[in-house]
Amino acid sequence: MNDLPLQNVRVISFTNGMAGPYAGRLLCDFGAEVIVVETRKRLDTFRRPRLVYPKDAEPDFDRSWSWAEYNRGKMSISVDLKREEGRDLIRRLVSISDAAIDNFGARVLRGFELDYRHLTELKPDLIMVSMQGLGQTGPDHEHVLWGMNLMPLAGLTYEWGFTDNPTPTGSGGFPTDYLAGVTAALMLIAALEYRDRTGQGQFIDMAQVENAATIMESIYMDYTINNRLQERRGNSSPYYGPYGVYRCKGSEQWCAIEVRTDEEWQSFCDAIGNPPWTDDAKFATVLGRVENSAELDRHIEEWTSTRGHLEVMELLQRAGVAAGAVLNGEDQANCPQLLHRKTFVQIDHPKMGVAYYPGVVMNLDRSPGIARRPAMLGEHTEYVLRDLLGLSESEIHELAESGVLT
Amino acid sequence: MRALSGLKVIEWGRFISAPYCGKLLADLGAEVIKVEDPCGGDPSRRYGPFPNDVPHLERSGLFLYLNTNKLSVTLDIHSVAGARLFKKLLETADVLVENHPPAQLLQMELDYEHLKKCNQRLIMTSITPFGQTGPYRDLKGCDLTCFHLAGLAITNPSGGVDDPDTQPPLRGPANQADFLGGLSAAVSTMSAVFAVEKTGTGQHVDLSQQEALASMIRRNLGEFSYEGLIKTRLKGTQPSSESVLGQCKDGTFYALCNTDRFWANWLEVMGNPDWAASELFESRAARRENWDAAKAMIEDWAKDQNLDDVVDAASEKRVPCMPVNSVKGSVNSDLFAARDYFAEVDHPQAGRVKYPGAPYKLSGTPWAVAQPAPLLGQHNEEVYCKRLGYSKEDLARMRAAGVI
Repeated sequence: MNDLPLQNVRVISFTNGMAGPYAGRLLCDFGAEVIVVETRKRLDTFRRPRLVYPKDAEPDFDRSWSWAEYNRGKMSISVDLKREEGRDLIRRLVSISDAAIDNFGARVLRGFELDYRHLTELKPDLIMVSMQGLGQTGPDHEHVLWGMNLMPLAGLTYEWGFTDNPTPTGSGGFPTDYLAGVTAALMLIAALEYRDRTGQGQFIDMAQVENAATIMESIYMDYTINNRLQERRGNSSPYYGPYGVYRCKGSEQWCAIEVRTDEEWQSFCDAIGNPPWTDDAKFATVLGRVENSAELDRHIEEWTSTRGHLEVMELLQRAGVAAGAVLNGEDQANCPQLLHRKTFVQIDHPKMGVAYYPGVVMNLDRSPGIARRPAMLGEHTEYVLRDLLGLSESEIHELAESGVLT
Repeated sequence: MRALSGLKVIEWGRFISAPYCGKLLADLGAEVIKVEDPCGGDPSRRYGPFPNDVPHLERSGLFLYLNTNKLSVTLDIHSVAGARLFKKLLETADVLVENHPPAQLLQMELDYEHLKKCNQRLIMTSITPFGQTGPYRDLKGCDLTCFHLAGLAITNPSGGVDDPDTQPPLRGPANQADFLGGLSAAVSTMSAVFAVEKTGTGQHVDLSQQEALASMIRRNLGEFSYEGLIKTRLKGTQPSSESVLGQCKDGTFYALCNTDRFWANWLEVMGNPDWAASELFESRAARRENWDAAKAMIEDWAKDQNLDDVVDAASEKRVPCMPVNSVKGSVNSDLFAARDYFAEVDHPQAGRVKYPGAPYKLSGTPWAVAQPAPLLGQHNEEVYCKRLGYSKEDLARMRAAGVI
């Protein structure tokens, strides 16, 4: 424990959903004490008990596995911010903390006078990251956005689709939430570094829509340089071939294959036993393989479709060709590499029992992170009030009686 | 002063993952010296997009974007003198970021065990498809393979497909696996930087792209490990998104109706059509159950609409409904303009172009493009002579010998 990089750093988390909680979870893995401010009166989106663990358990906000994943390792305090006494507790808590994360709607903390402007009056060197969909400024910044509806604004949804499909398909997952979460954690640690050197805190205003834009790289650059809109690429590439996802034996089994050089192409042909079509001159060069990719892909599927996806991966990798089976949930749970790396860890929880959680993926050899169990709602209220804020038993009792700690 | 002023980073990386990690640190104010091969440099210099599609080592859009605020030196790491020069650079550095195959580093004796001998405080961040350990360690992986091996594509396209045996899982646009890998490496690196202040000892940061990605989007893994489900991608079996991509006459919108209020208001946007009165849609639970039917009706309605009319009407009714912007729409949108997101950058070879900016605004240490992406070897003299103390004659000799 003592070796963790962010040990002795306390972070107050005004968060909901994925992006804000994910930022906090990374800080937690690195040893920070992250305290989530919650209330039963308005539960986190993922506390609403739709998906409980174990599967057939009674609905219970302490058994939601998605909340548990995004928030494992943190502490939870239950306080009603609509009450002045509740806000007062939080002000006192922030004044003995290092940083805060906020991904509530832009109006929420301002309304409670718990925004950066107010909090720095109490804690001048506070570091705070606010990470709304559209940030803290701009014409529509008070609109509520989530990963799913900010991706269209950044051009990500438009580009998401099959090559031959005239319309975008969109994504079923929301990478932008994670992008924003990891970026927020990076900003917080960089700002902590700066504070330790200069004594200055700062405010970090992140717009998640801009995070989505950062990963669009050459698609943006092609427009700003050449005024060109790139086509949807799906699994294909305009530069390489064979390059794509190929059908394998069995239902819904696929393997991704990427051949980048002529040398890899030779290895690929050897690995599949040099069938006669591989001698065709039109496949001899990268350009030819890209131009004739439809025909090439048909030939390759004749080979892949008679083998399992893991077998295809193994045969091609053995020959030095980049190939990766498309892993579904079960495949991932059994993937020897992910198992070896402890990408998932077993954690015991008083209500959920033992379950598999995401492990620590930021592998530092001397100060590896730690994956602790998720908290129950309000589990650490007493610790915070008594041990951190120094309230007496009778004061705590009074707050609880008057409904501030719900 | 910037957030990471004073932090010295050596980036020995190629293409995207390590250079993106370097860019994030450089944009925060670290001094990032990019070590490139004298013959052609970072492969992303050859990737494009190029102005008017004419290839040029100094004009690749991908390279220009990924390497703002960095210095570039050249050295032939495969030569004895080049490797010595590289180690000399590391002696005064805080961080090395690299993305080479582990076996190659071992063979070149440039793995962490060897390099830490040059500098006990050195943090070495290695970004590889599968990490430094485990049965897949030496396998090959690029963006497409990592994306699929991490299970990220299995939920795409949204809503499932008609025939899951002929329509493959779909990766996202651009090189997301490389970007997410670089970003995860940057945050890990910073936590190691934070630790070195206290302990005085560096460490090896071992980032596996497959692992970083697999720990993020875990819907299918979660469904399997918590509920025992193995999901098919067949349309109609997917969890209801309560959202729709509607194709209008002149563009596409994305609308989200995941509350009763959004749904009621959305019906007003559509002029309260008769079909919506059906019991199929009478409650949120019913709509979740029958969302594909609702979606089909909305898609049908959209065909005759103008995009702007739909988005404006929805905005008035406060329904989350966005235009599905092309990059043209995004670059020219008020939204990004209001936050000055795009930055005009002047480059001696590529001219003045708009670049995506930083996705954050730091109140105390604001971001800026202090310098455009470096020319290949642009800072050889500054780094080798002024910092490492080589003379100009040494430099000329090394150049003639092909070391730099």
